[in-house]
Amino acid sequence: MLYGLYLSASGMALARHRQDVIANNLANAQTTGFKRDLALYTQRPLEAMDLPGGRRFLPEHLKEMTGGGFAAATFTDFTQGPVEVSERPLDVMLQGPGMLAVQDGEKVAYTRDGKLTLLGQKLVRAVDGRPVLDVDGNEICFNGATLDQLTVDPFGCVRHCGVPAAQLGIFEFEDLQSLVKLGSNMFGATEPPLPAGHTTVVSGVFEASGVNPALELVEMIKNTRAFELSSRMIMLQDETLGRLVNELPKL
Amino acid sequence: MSVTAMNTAASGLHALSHRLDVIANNLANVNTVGFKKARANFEDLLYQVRRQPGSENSLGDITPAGILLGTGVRLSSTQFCFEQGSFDQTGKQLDLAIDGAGLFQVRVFEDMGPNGIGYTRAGNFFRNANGEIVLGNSNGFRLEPPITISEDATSVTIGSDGRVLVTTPGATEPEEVGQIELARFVNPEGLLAKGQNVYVETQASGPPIVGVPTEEGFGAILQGSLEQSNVEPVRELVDLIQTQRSFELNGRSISAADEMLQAVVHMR
Repeated sequence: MLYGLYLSASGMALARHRQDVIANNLANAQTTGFKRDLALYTQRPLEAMDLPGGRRFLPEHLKEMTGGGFAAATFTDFTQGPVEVSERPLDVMLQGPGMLAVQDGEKVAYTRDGKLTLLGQKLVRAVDGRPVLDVDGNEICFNGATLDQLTVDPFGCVRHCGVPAAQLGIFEFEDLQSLVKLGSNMFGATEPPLPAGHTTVVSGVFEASGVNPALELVEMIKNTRAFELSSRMIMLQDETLGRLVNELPKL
Repeated sequence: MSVTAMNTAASGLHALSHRLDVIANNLANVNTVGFKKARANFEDLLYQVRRQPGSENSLGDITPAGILLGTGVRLSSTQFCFEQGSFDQTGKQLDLAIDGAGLFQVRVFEDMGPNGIGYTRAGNFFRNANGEIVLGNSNGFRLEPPITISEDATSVTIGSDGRVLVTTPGATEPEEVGQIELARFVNPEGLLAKGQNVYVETQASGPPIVGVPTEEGFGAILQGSLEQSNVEPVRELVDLIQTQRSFELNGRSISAADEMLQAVVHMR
């Protein structure tokens, strides 16, 4: 009886977790290059139920009882986001699985946010001024360039007055799920990046958020109901337990 | 508790209301001469680590990824788009437009910007009572370097290279009275807007590079034309709709979290 209470409570905890993830997706529905997270569950095995020498329930029912759920590792959906046209030459979108390298303090981070601009003579992200890196991991600096003289070609080469000046550091990963979100539209790598082979650069557009609001809303409704169902289950079990405690002794 | 989801959604509402402000200002300035539209850039907030990547679960497996929970969004920057606006032929002698990246320099109040110089794309100039060329904004800032047109001038011709030629009665040849200089910036999007169609330099824009029109990168001056605002109403309206709907969605996040809290409260 009490065991069921805990299962329902774990269901509520999972639904709450999923609600947090959905809320973050919806909050970032307008964030450039954002990738939505999925809250996944895994089933908990039956371990605690039939330990040798442990508490025993009716054996024939044990096999049918599940052990509730766990929140599984966050899965990030790296599907290409929708295109938003800005016609600004230094807004670039990566078409393919690649990531743009940016300097994040001492470390290198990766981003899909390709809104670029100039700070001094340095090529940086417009969103926060973090320097963009080239293929060799160096900051990209120009000599006497102004914003209107820079263009980016489909191969990721930044041109100053049409002359190739630097190659954007675009990298791919064997397993995109190995990337860790750092906030500020950045991902941290946990395995070494590979040189880009399947990524082209489109200039004049940027990649909008990968969040599909309709899908998230449906998920949210489903999730709220799942939460309510679990809470109803707790109430039902509580009621049954109450009867057991209060009414059975009267018989 | 669902309070995380509520705060996350609240951050979304906050950021989106800023974006609405930016769009509203763009739309309000759809007819402002030389206006450059702005856009709001967003970034996701820090992630809460609910389980460290690479930890061991109760089955003894090493998890390939952890559980990271986002905590919302914030407005990271507003960015000007210095695309060329379209030209409006007015035929007025002192209406000037720049076809290129340069900006006009005007003398502003000392406390407005470094060296008391402001920069503008608005080319609706006037002649003040002293004959000086001034900007047609609410304060009538003087063009820098100053150019004075004598009171007996019958016509003013401004060449694409910025030379100001004045014809006076009785003179056979037009007389040159000044040279309009333009400024351009490494990063014009980093300029600080001061209102009144005027920008001032910042660390982000870099110092001005001063030169004469038609020189490389400065652009040519078109007399008798005005540069229109580069706001495209259709795009702004699409952005407005997006913003409004996203705002509503975040509101739904809050009510869903609220419903969940209510379910908890009603359990007993």
